[in-house]
Amino acid sequence: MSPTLLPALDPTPLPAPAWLFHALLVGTFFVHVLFMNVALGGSVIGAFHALLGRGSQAPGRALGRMLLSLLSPALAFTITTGVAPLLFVQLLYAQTFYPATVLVGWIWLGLLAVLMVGYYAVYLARFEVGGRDSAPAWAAVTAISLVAIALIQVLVNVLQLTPDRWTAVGVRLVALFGDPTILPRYLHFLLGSLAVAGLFLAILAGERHRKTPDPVYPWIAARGVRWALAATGLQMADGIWLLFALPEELLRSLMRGRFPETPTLAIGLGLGFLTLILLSRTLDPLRQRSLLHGAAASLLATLLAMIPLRDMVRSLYLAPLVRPQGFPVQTQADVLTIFLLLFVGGLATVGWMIIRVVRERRASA
Amino acid sequence: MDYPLFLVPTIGGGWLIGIVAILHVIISHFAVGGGLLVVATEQLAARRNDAFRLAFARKLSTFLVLVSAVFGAISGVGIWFTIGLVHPAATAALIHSFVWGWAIEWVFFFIEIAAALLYYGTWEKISRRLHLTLGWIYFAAAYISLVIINGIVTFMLTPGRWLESRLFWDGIFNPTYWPSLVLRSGISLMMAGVFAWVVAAWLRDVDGRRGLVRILSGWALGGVVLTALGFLWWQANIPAEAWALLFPGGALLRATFFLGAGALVVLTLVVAGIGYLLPRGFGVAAALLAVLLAGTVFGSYERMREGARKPFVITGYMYSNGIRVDETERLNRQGFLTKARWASLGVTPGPLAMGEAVFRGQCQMCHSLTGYLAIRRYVEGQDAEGLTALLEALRGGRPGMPPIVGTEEEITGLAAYLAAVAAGPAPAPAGSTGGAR
Repeated sequence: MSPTLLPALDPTPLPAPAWLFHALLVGTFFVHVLFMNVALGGSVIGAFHALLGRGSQAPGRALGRMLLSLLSPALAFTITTGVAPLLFVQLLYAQTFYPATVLVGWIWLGLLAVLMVGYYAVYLARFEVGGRDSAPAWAAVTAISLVAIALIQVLVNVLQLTPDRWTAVGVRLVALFGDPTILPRYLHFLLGSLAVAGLFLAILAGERHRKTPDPVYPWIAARGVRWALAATGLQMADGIWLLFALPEELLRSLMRGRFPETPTLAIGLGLGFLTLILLSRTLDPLRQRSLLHGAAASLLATLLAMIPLRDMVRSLYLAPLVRPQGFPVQTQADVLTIFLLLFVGGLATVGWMIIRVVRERRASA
Repeated sequence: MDYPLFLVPTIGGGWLIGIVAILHVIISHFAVGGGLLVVATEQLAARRNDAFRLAFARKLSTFLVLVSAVFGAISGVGIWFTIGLVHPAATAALIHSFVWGWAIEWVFFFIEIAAALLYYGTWEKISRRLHLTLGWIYFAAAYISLVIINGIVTFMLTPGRWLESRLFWDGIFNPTYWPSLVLRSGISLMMAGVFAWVVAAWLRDVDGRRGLVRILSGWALGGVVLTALGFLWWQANIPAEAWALLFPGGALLRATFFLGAGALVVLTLVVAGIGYLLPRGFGVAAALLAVLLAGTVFGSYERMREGARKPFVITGYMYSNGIRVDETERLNRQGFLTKARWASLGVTPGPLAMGEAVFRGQCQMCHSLTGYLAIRRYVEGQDAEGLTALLEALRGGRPGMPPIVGTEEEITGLAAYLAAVAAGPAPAPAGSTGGAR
């Protein structure tokens, strides 16, 4: 790219240090990814088993119904928690975010139309619009929509990171696919979602079985672990593919002991392997609860390493063009304090509501 | 401007924002007023042990979640997407100034969605007391979201003391903050009343619903009164130039003003007439008509509020073509194209090409060549010399239009380009096709 195409930074100073916004960006994105993984992976797993299941009593259909009941809150919170990182990324990376999204403007807007279709399909399935056997088809609509959205997100994200491709994409839209990291990134996205959703499903089936034993739950839990195991195994291979698809200079930075990038990568990879080992030993998820929970904790810890690593990689990609650490700052301490108090208060309120509802429902059951 | 341009064929980017924003605000204001209506109905019905109204409240909560938690949430993100595409510079400026405002609003949005889903999902599954608490939390969070966003939305038309101080609170509590809050509170009640009519229209017990429809009509009419009072207060606080775009004969937004006012009057007649005098006329058609009229009232106001900012996107700070007021002098000296680098992409050297680049970067956000606000219509029959004089005169701007900015060479080039546009078939570029340039 001609560096002159990079838009000028808005002259208004940041109202707090860039590191704080970075922390908020990464933190809220982490929460968003958890919900998104359950929604995306869950919709694919649910649609797959529901479509394969023959008859409404088939365990695959039960699995589909279980995931369907989770999809509407998962999608609601995917969107809600996605708004915060969208805000912070626009603050820190406006100079690359806007050009990239404008260049693929209709595709970017199309994401919302696809999301609307996928989201309403969940309710159409729940209300059995189109007949009692229609749910698997609606679930497939949701899954296809979310898989398509994942592709749009990957394409736009990579375009933000590679300003040198902007002019080519502006001339020919097909150039959008012309980056070697796109396919491994997309697979990374999908496999991660399948792993998280699979494990979540297994744990949930286990919990439900403890409350109301039903032969379908062990079946669901075993399928959940299998999905997580297969996805994590493939993720290992794909992760290495993605690493070596990165620009050479960036790969060198990651591999040559750069702090904190190299240790974060090493920790993430190590935890990924640990998750794989724990999952491979979980043969009976309902009886091997500690192993199952250990795998879940390990996967969560992997995400805790990989999400900040993703942010570090973005910084490496965009340096020296965009360096938020160098933006002018004029801290607005009063509003910042109010935000932090309300943030904590808001989380506490949501936590309180959930706890009260769960307690009352347990008491009445 | 500094960014590539997102071209929207036929209607232009402003209308794209308008359509997405109007659809969203109708739903989001319904979410606020509907939240209050549903929880208040439940509370009163539970106290009186009124099973019919409890069932209605439950149905209304389902409708609320289906409409607001899905369409409302996605269209809210849609506003982010569209303003970022059409007005990236203005969006970046707003975010730099009000990121904490939006972050606080997001906290309440998060609480709102969590409370809405819990409220909807726990009817008859938890104690009434806890269920009502969830409902009140939902409404409070939704209303506080409105209280915060109202500050940022009104700021764009009346930034007030922020222009000098650049202080967050000066921007939020600007001259139209309180009038707009009254107006939007009224709209929330009005939307709740008419959307609740839709839900009531599906109730089978025709006799039982009559009293309910009267109450809902009261909500809508209360909202209408508050909306009208808020509007009068709002219009008294907007700049004279903005009012001049709304009301007098020949004003740019006069038709919108009368459309909104007319819809408000008809809505009042429909709601009062059917709600109190002709209950037999109540049904799905009447309810949908009321929704359409209320949507027209609100949509007209939003269009007026957006349009009244012209020639600015943020009054006194940034023009609608993304040029900041404080950079016009520099651009006149150093050249507009030093800023609008994207506009020069793919343009061959020469004065005509320079003019085309200036047109892309400075005019095309509002004017297409032959479609929406077609520039050809304005320049037809004029030659380059006459257009140069006209453009030089427009350096001082005109009502609703930003001043022309650039060096003499750029203005001459723009005039040459516009003369070529006036003369015949559009010289290849922009305007008639979608996509980014």
